[in-house]
Parts: sequence; structure tokens; C-alpha cells
Amino acid sequence: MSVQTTFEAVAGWPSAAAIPYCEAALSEHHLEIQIRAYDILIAPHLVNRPDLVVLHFDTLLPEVRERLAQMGPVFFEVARKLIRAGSETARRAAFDLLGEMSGVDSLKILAAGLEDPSTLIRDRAARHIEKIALNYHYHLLNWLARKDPASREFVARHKPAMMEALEGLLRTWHFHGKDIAISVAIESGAEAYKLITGIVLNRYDSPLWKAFIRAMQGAHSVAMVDILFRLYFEGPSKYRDVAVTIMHLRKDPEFAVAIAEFLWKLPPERLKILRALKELPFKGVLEACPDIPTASAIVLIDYVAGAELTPKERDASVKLFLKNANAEVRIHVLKTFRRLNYPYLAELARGCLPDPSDDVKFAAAQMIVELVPTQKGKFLMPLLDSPHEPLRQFVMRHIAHLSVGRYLAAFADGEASVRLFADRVGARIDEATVEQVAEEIVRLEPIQRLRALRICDEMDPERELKPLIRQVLADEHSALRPLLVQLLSFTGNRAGLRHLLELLAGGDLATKTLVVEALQEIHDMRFGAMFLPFLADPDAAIRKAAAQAVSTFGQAEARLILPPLLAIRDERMAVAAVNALALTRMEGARETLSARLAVESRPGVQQVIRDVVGAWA
Amino acid sequence: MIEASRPLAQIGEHLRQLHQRLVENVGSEQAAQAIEGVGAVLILLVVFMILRRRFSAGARRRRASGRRFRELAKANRLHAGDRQLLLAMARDLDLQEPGLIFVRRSYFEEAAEKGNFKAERVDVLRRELYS
Repeated sequence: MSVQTTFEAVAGWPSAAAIPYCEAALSEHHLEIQIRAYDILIAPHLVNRPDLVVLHFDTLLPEVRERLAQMGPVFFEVARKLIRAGSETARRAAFDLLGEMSGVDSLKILAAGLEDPSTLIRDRAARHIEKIALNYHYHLLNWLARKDPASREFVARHKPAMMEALEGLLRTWHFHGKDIAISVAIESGAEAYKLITGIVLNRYDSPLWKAFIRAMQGAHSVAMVDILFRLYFEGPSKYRDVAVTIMHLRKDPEFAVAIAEFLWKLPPERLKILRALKELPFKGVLEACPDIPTASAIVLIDYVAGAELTPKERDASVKLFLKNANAEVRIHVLKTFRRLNYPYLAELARGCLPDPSDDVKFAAAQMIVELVPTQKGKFLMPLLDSPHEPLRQFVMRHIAHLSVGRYLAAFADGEASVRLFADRVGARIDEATVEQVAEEIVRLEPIQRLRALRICDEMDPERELKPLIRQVLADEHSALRPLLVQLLSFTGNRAGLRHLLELLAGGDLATKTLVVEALQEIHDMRFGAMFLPFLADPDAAIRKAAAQAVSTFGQAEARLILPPLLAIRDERMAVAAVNALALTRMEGARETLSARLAVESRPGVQQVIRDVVGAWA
Repeated sequence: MIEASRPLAQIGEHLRQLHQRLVENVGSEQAAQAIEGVGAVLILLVVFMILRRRFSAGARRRRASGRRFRELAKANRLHAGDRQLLLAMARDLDLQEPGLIFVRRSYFEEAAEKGNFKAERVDVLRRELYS
């Protein structure tokens, strides 16, 4: 005793008796009842009336619809027959079944429903078309934007049917007014181009024409840009006007992104055609959008830079990207102008120095160093306060010009022994040490840093340099004072170094004390040995002061440099080394000289050693 | 043949006697024949109405639906009481086809809600029919 028993009995009746019971059961929202009735109705050996199932499609439960879908082709065929020859109720049910179950394949038949005499059926058909087209549109976008494989498969499977139906949908647009048909046409790109020109843009200013313009304004895909450029290039002037109108209306960054993606994917031969343009139809979006994403902006800049625009138009268009919110884009603008040999690049780079991004400032500073080397100090000085470490170091390096080379060059015109001592001292110092000094200057307070940079500048020794040195020496709290010797050495300021020795040799006690204090603050003896070339100075007082400085503050270095020079083949150099060692009177210097005397074969050198050791005694 | 025609002869004799009495009562042969004609027409009319009622499409339909109801009741092994209850429910809903209540549970529920039926019996029947 159950539903099963009931329907077993019903199945045994003649069709005429069973049908009302089965139809009544299909209206019942109980799965067990509906399923039994469905089975009896579709069974070929029983009632065999699938058309009755179609007629009751609207009341079928989802589970029953699933079973119906398994026999889809049978029911779709029945539905098609009902549409051709059925009553209004039957046609409506058939359209509903096709709309719900069939998908894109039935779009063409559904489009025919848009011309049905029944208003209700027309509305239903339009709704089903919209739903199916929306689903296809979703997969189309999902494939284009995200490369989703499932969507790709869906689109590939249904594209022929969709394209076939699309024509009908566009032709009947005035009946259904569903913009999704236009959107599908747009997103189908070149494949629907003929439908767009043939149907959509057939009549100027028609509602369909206007709907197309609206849809183009809302689309963000490459396909939309493809259609836009096809209209611009391929059609008669009215199509070109449509393309220009749309491009002028679009001011959203998504449009710029779509154009960039389109350009990026364009085959070289089509890109060449596009580059031959003498105008930039989408300039409006470049002007209006400061927030185009970096990758897209770079593609657009490269396109504009390579387009056959007038130089003025091209430069103005590239400059628009300087307003872009992304630093990388602004840097790319500078690099592009560099590539284009823009005549006002230095001015442009100067204009970028106040940029909020340190990276842009850095790029601009690099260009200024290269383009206006004579004025780089003036332009770059304000950047010394930048919190961006690499930028600060870069600026310092280029403003101060610190290097061991400059120290060596300062003594290059001196006599041979001076050059020899300078070379030996210079060989002990590497570029990393110099950079460390530059970093220490960067870390100075602004006033001290300014003084340091003034010392680095070429200035009049008497009127400017010497007062400045004395000023630095006098400031016992100055963080610059311990750097004084290094700064003078690495900028090749021989006069400055000599002035320190002058103060040490001939100044009053207070001044000498200041110099000694400054030298004491040097913690690296390699810098203390920077005075070594002055051991061969013509002025005896300077030689003496240099020996005092070297032996006190650069003793370890002098020990490494001078003794090996005693054995140098050049006799004059060996003699100079003997004299220098004697001058320093460092601990162990006498023993070194005595030991050298025991092995020295050159009479001249022997004599000098004997003299200095004797004088020492 | 002679045996078979004897009752008809008797009926004919009875009818003739009735006619004689009627003639005697009304006093006229023509008046008696008129009354007899009207009576015959009335009898034929009644017979026609009875036959029509018996063999009309509606009557056949009713009989057929009753038969289907009985078949379904029998298939579901319903007792006489349950059958009566189901029929009463179908009548309550004015169902032309009372058997539909077997496949339309919503009718059953509607009748159960509207009608004044014993709830426990309805529950039992519901379980038996729709489980």
C-alpha cells in the first residue's frame, strides 16, 4: 500500500484512463508521486507521451528536471514540435523547457519566440534569451579575463550556435530590448564585427545604435577595443565617427587597461598599421586617468613613443604619464624621453626632483648627473636630506667626488719620492672605505654636511679653505672634525692637508692642540698615514710636522709602508725612505735602519743611513 | 411458438378489458382512446428518461471513475471503512474523479483540513497511501 502500488495500478490502465492521473500527479509537488507519473508518461511501452511532460514543465521538481535533462534531445525535439504546432499553453511550456534546459543551442528557436503572437510567450522567450546570453557572456569574459579552462571549453562548444543565434537576437532587439545581446556581440570581437556593422549600426541614431554606444562605454575587454579600432580603420566614415565618439567618451582607467592589453597582444603587422596613425584618438583617457596601472601605462607609453605622431604631439602625450600615480610609470617616462633624445630632458629631470617618490628622484638625479655634470651639485644638493638611503649616497658620491684617485692625483705632479709615498698610502685604501666616508658625511647634521661639501668644492685656499678648516678644528663637538683628514685626502685637497701640517708646525699652542685633537679623533691609522707624502716636502717644518703626525697617528701604517722601501732598487727612493723613517723616529726605526745597513750594498745609501743614525744618536 | 405467444395474448386480453372499462366509465370510445394515448406517451417518456439516465456519457463516466476508484482501493487493499472515508473526502472536494485523490496528495490534505474527519483515521490512511 503506497504510491508505488497506486501507480502500478495506473500503469495497467488504458492510456486514456492513465493520462489524467499522470498529468494530475505531475502537478503534485511530491517527488515520489511526480517521478512515478513521469516514468509512466515517457515509457514507450506504456503511455509514451513526452509531450505531456513538456506541457507540465513549469510544475516539475528539480530532481525530475534532472531526469528530463538526461533525455534532453527527445524532449527538445518534442518542444520544437509543440512550438511549431501547439496551442499557446503548449508553446509557452515548450519555450520554457528549451529556455531552462537547452541553453545556447536553442537560442535561435527562442529568438523566433520573440515574434510569437502571444505577449506572454514573447516576454518568456526574451527572459530565457537574456539568461542564456548572460551565461555565455559570463563564460566569455571569464575566459578572456581569467583564462578559465572551463569557460574556454564552454565558449568553444557553444560559439557556433551563439553566433548563429546572435544575428536573430540583434535583429529582434527592438522586440526584447535585451542589451546582453549587444554585449555578447562586443565581447565576441572580430567574429561579430559584421553583425555589428550590418545590423547594429545599420540605422543611424536608432535605439539599437544608442544601446551599442552605451554598451561600448561599459565594456572593458580587448574584444571591445578590437571592434573600436576596426570601426576606426575599416568602415566608412560614420563607423569611424562612432569609434571616435566612444573613445572620447571613455575616461575610465579600465579603458586604458583594455587598450594596453589590446596593443600588447596585437600582431606586429597590425601594430605597424596602428602606429602609422597621425593622431591619438584615445588621448582623452590618458589625460583623464592618473591611475592607469603600471604595466598598462608602460605599454601605452611605448606605443605613443613609437607612433608616427608629430614630435610635439608625441612628447605632450608621453608627458601626460608624468601625472600617473605609479612611480615606475614616471620613471619609464624619463627613460622613454632619454631614448627619444628629448631636447629638454635635463629640464624634465629637474622637474622630477621634487617628485614624491624617491625612486623617481633617483632616476632624475642619475639623468642630471649625466646631462648637466657642471651643475649637478646645485640641483642635487636638496636631495641630501632624502630619507632614501641609496639616493642620499648617490647624491653624496656625485657631489663630493670622493676617491683615492683624487688623493693620488693631488701628489702626481710632485717629485718621485712624494709620488711613491702617496702611491703606497693610496694602495692601502679601497673604494669601500671611501664610500664609508661618504656615508658618514650623509649622516652629518645639515650644517656640518654643508661644511663638508664646501670642503669638497674647489675653493680659494687662502680666503675660503683655510678659515673653514680652522672653523671646523675649533668646533670640538663637530662630527665633521674626525672626517677632516679623510675629506681633504679623498678630494685631493693637498693644500688643505698641508695647511693642517702648517698649523701643527707653526701655530700657537691652542691651534696645535686643536689639530692634535682632530688627528686623535682619527681611529683608522690608514688615514693618519695620509701625511706620508709630506715627509719629502721641501719645507723642513712641514716635514717635521708630517713626521710627527705620521709617527703618532699613522704609525702602524708607516711601519708597513716605509721599511720595505729601504730595499727599493732606485737609490734616490731608498734614500728618501731612509730619511722619512729617520724623521718619524718611530719606535724600532733605528733598529730597522741598522739592520738594513748590515745588508745594504750601495755606498750612497749606506752613508745616508750612517748619517741619520749618527744624528739620531 | 404457440406457448410463447400465450402470455402476450393474455396481456392483450387484459389491455382490451381495461379499454372496455374505460369506455364504460367515460361513456365514449374517442375519449377513452385519447386518455389511453396520453397515458402511453407518459409511460414512454418515463422509460426514455430512465434509459437516458442509465446509458448517458456522464453516467458512463461516473461508473468508470467509480470503477477506477475501486480498482485503486483494491490495489491498495483498503478496507470498506477507508474506502468510504476516501470517497467522503473526494465528495467533500466535489471531485468528479474520486480516484485522483490517490495521486494528488494535496487534495487529500485539503480535504483532511477542511472536512470533519477523524484525525487518527486520516493519519492512518495518509500513511497507507503516500508512504
